[in-house]
Amino acid sequence: MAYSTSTPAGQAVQNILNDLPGLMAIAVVDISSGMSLASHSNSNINPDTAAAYNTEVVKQKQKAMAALKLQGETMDDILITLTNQLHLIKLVGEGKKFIYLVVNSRETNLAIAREVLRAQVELLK
Amino acid sequence: MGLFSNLSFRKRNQPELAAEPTAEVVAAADSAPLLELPAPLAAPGLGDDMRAEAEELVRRVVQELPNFLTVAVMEAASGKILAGQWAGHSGGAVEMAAANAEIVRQTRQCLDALQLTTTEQLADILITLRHQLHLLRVLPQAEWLLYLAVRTQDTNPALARAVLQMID
Repeated sequence: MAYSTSTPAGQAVQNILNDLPGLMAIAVVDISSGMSLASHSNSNINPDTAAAYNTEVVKQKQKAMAALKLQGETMDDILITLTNQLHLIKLVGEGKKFIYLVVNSRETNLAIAREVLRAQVELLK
Repeated sequence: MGLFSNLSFRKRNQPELAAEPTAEVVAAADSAPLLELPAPLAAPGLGDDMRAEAEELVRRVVQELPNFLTVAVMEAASGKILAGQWAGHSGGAVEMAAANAEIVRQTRQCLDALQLTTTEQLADILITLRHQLHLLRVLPQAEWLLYLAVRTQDTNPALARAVLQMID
């Protein structure tokens, strides 16, 4: 357990764990450093490693959007679908942070995962 | 054809279910040309049969999702575009394809670092923007990627993924 509920990030991780006790990994990540502000794992997935790599994925997509000159667009989330897992990256705090969630796709679908993360957006502003 | 073309047809003709696409969007989608790839865009050394196969994949997606913004098939390794259709202008297409191939490469690197690759394989990456969905699907043949961009008002993620899964 790598979080303290006295910070907004830690509180968000705790709230998400309460909603999805069976989740595989969760982290709130600062994009400028690629480090997690709070994280927790119920599996062998290291959320801090994932934070660092996924920060680059987010930055890459922001570059792609710049190449397409998409105006009035912001990224809401990135969903990575694997054989048995969903990895969801939800941007929060005006694109300065993201919530990273890994769930088993047999237990949780995209709609549920999104709903749970959406509830924490205000907290992480 | 069949199931999903019916879905998208019905959706377009039921204004109470979704906002009607603007006249501009419809016109753009209807007049979408099959982009003639200029020499620097096309992957070198690609046989005519492979190019035809890539074009066929693009054509099938367009048939199912007539309100698309972009459909492209590219090489996963290089990000080179093999075939594509653009509703409207294709400016930035080369950069877009290269950037998307890079996203797939970095995602795979992440899965490697997490030591997930023995049990898990990357199926697709869905990027939700405020007004658009971008879907990147890894195709089984020859390490190709299928890239689809649609408006969120025209197509939902479940439909977009269903169509791309069907044409594999």
